[in-house]
Amino acid sequence: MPKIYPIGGGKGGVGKSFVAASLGAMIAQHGKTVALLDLDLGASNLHTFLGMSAPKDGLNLFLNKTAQNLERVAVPTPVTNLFLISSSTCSMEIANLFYAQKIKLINAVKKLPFDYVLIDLGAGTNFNTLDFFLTSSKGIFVCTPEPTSIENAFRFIKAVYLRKIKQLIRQHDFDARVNAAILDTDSSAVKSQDLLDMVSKDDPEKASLLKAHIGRFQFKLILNQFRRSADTSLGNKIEAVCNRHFYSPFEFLGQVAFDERVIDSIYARKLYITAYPATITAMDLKQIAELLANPQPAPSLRQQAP
Amino acid sequence: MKTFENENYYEILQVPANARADEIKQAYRDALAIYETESVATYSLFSEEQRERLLQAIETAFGTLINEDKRTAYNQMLMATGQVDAANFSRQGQRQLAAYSDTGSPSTEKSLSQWVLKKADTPKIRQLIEAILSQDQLSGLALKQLREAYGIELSEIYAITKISGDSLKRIEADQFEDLPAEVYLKQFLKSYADILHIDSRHVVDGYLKSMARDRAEKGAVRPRPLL
Ligand SMILES: Nc1ncnc2c1ncn2[C@@H]1O[C@H](COP(=O)(O)OP(=O)(O)O)[C@@H](O)[C@H]1O
Ligand SMILES: [Mg+2]
Repeated sequence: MPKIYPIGGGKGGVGKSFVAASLGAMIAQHGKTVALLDLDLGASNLHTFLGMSAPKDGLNLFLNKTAQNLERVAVPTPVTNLFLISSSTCSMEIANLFYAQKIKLINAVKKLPFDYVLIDLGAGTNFNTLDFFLTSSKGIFVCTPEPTSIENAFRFIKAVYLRKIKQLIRQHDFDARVNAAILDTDSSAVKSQDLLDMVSKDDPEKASLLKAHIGRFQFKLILNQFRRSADTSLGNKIEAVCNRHFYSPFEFLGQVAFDERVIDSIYARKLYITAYPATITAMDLKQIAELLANPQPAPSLRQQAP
Repeated sequence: MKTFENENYYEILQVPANARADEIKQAYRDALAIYETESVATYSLFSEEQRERLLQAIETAFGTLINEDKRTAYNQMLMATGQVDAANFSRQGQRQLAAYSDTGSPSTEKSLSQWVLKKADTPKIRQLIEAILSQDQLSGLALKQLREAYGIELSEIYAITKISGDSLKRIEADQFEDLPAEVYLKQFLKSYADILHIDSRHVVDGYLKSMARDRAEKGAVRPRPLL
């Protein structure tokens, strides 16, 4: 099974696709095989960041059953060891994937014969995006240091959390009251913490089961488009506060500097890190790629005061 | 979402049970910087009500731990109820901690400046600042009063500026004979003024003027050489 890193974050334009393309290329340069999976269904543009034109075929062939295996629709990129599974040729309706197709896709992703799979996700918190994010026990969320972006990132994390808790509650035999609460709510009405509190009161044993499950999910944070004026301790602060108030471990992977040449590289149809390998932005990305290519043991849930 | 519900005051402020007063103050400021309404790090993370409760808990924890009597009573309660072992309150670990905190955490400067910005609006501080700005000359005592009104320790100024505590004391006591050379003095005064969030040019000029006057006065006492 490959190491799967879904890359999400709520807001559009924060740089999820840019980060996915750059990290994919850098991990491939470490000698690992990497598949980039573009699941920003209906708005895919990952190929552009790689300096490629839109592949003729991709995910569509897998979903319409022309291709038996998902790896068959992966195409090579200008970077050795790096492959792209594009959804640029999928019809617009694909954004509302059928449930059965979604499950089939998720299962196929887990069996991809690559060392790494990076999944580029779309903006927003629709169920498909959340379920793709939950394909793995580790997810990366990207945001910029602006309040609006952070707001969306927190909303995204809470939505992922709630989706996960709902999945778990469906899988395990829960109290009728809890079940009813899940079934007749949308994500805005019942918050994940309310659900957990509800379960905690009714059935402490089940609550600790839920906590144990979501405790296994690891969130990783990247702050992109970082400008000099921004608070350099922001990432660490978010990491600390999330570790303190959520039940899952959070790890701040690092910040990626803003660089106007990112746009230049897109116009020049070149992969940014190939065109500008010695910039601060490229160094920042390199550090993060190394963290992912040589993963450290999971961060402890919380640093307890001695 | 976990709140501070099951945490004792030390855990809320994330300080060890034998923390010194200045460490508690620093931890309190760090906590405010994270949990206050304008904090970017927790923007939209909590509902207004949750945030209110978290801040309330931080205030209560700080109010208790910074007051010696209240802290002693609280410690006794923690020990009596078996929540914290008596050994944790010992002063053993303190010296190590002091050495560690001397290196100054990277967040020290930021959280101190946020704290100062916040307090700069209180009537007492405003009065002191206005008094300084309205005068042409500035005594070290006025700086000291302002620093104390902010609740800032000399060691905290040292942690950021690396101006030694002795030099700072001399500056505050107007011991003009023992001050560092003027180039350094100007630099020191500027950093100090920046921390206190007061116009640094006015501070430097005012202090140097008061120093010059002092020299002139002392010079006048000395018998003048006969022509
Ligand atoms: N670190 C960066 N510095 C400068 N521009 C960036 C950076 N990261 C992303 N961008 C620009 O921001 C825009 C949005 O990036 P994109 O990756 O498409 O965001 P998303 O996938 O989150 O919607 C792109 O035009 C990209 O060039
Ligand atoms: Mg994108």
